[in-house]
Amino acid sequence: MRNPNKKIEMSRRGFLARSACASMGVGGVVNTLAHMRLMEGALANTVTSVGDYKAAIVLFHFGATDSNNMLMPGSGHPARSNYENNRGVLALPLSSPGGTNDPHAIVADNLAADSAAAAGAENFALHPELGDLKTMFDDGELAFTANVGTLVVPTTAATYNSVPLPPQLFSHSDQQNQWQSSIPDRPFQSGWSGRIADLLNPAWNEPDGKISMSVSLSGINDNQVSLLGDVSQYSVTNNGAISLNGYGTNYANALSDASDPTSYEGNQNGRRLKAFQDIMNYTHDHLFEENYNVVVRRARQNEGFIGNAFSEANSWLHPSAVDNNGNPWGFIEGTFILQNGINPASANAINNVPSLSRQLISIAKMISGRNSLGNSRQLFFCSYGGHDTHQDQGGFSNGAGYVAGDLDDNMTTLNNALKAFNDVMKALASEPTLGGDFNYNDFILASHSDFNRTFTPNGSNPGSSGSDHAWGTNVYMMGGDVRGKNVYGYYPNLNPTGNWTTPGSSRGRWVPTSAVEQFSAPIAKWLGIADTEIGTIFPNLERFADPFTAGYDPTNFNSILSNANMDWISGV
Amino acid sequence: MKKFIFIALALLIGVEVAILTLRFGPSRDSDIELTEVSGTEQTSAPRSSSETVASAVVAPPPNLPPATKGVIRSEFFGVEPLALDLRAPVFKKREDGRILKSDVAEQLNSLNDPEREPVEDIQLLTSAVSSYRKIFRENPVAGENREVVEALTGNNPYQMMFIDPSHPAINSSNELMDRWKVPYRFHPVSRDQMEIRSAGVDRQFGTPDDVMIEEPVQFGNFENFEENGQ
Repeated sequence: MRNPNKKIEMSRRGFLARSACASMGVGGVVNTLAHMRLMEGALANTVTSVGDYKAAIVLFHFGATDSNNMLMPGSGHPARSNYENNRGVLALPLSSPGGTNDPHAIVADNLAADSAAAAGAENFALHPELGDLKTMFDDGELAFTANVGTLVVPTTAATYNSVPLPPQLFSHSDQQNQWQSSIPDRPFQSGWSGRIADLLNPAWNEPDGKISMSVSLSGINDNQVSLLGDVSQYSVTNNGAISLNGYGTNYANALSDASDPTSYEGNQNGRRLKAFQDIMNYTHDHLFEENYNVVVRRARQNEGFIGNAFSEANSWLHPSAVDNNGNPWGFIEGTFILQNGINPASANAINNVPSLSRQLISIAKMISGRNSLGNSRQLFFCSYGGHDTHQDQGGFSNGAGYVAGDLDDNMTTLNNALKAFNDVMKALASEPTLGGDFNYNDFILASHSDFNRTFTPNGSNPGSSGSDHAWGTNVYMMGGDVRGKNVYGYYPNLNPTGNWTTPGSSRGRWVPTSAVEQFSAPIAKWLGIADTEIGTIFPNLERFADPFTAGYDPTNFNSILSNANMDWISGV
Repeated sequence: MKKFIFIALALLIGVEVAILTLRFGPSRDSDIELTEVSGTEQTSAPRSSSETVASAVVAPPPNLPPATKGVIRSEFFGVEPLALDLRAPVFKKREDGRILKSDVAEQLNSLNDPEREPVEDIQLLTSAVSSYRKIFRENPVAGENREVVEALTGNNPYQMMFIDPSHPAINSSNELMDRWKVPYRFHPVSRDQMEIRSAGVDRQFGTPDDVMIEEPVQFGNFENFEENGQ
């Protein structure tokens, strides 16, 4: 643990001085962003076609995934012996009796081609449940970045006790928040996606965009909080837009035509809906009352647009998946149902699809129905939880063999969701009607997680043991523009007491070798943020090495201070 | 018009000068400026509450963490501890010069008392962490039991003890153990929520006899709290 033996007294003078300077600093970001937004807006007329469509998806693993077992050292990797010697019952053997739970070997091309890399550094293995991710990795559609985390300044184990650290390391809520804001050293004001939306929305989505640029499938999140307040998050459920309660599915009890919000039925529900909508159309002098009505009116409008997009997507039918009434499933839903091993003809087949897949179904539908939404730039946020595997994580021992646990379930869920989503995106690119000018490289999906988990287990029983809270973690990126089949960043040597871990701990808590902003900045640039504006989205980025510079020394993790090797998206 | 411009410029310059003076200018009350704990500071009779804090901190004994130069966690986001009157009855100065939060420490003397219910142990520890949080505005920054113990035994900005380092529940690895000799599990959910769990009679975590207190969600991604796996 960092030694905090410092007496910090704060005088009134000091407080006033700091407050004034902090206010000026924050105000500066807001002003810069507002100014840039105006400039972007002035250029809006030059970009109006949805044909320039790009969608970025953040998938947050809430609870903190044990990414030490998501991406592990493979045969011949220099860290493999540390993995086997120090991971205890959480160490998964590369081959086990029966071979049914063997990890999947992958080879990182970028490390294999780097003559400076240590022998075998390119050999990794994916969790046994990630078989489809191996295929996607091998096909160049998926890549990993090793050991990313929240950082205030470049930090190593040697400087851990002498540099500012992100507040409340190891705390779920704080680290989730800091991953999403990418400004760990300031009180939360906005998320990095929200700041991107502030800047890009005027240029890319106005005046044709009909819904918010920031759509969440996971409720209100920090990542999409706008700094200027101009782009509010719009929450969509797994079933689509959230409707007003009490009027039946798709307003069937109150409207004769769901697509016409004024086709009121002559019954009590119709009259009630009309009265409610009339009231919501009033204007008020009181700002709160007026804003309440604005929110409801906007939600009602968005609901219609989302409904149109979903209808458009649902017209794309799956060639083989048929429901229990003999009707074909939509292509998107059918793909996810089959990938998750569910009988499409079973009752409630779609309701048995895991939540993560359901969220990605909705995102895929909005991408497919993008013409109904009108946005050329779209940001999505989705998540799944249950990763806080302090116990029952799953492991292996010679006596008990392979014991599946919660991590196995999570990896299965992840594997199926990403595989189906990737399949849909590829199919959409060649679908004659909905595909249009959509290309497979028009989306990027990137993962986030609170933090990694301790390398050493918290027990000796492979059935009940788990891992605890740590820091730097491994994340993945998927999409046509991702330079796949590579592992970026710096993979730890997996020595739990060595110079990669926080001093004083013997649990293996890797000090991140790449900051969240270094990892995320390429996404911003890919979406259209100019080089001169990157610092506005990620104000701390200048403290770290330029993520866009190619070439690095993989034998020296300290070289991250001079080169981040984050050129993981082609064309940026 | 020129007059207005002149006045506006003068006001602007005045504000800038005032801020720069506040930020970088010499202090007239340097005794209450941010102060590094020197490790050799000696106690003297306090003259003000702010000085009390500075004067109450003395060199730690050899078996405690040295008072090294610390770091402000962040220029803008450093959480400052409360300014305390350490002469208040709830604080006691130990022979080694350290400040003991005596009300909390005395309560913790009952920790693992077989005459009490196991859940009361969790309540006592929760109360101790809460007391720490009230002073330092956040939970101990800790991912491990050992780090919580370090924070509660003086590895904090005031070098304040909430539990005696020689408490029988603290083992040789500096971990707090439950009455069944299994280290408690401290689970930092947020800066102001710390779940504490005992493995219970079977000494295995994740079984029905685990002892813990369900705390209400305080903030964060509350919409997805169950799904977040916390």
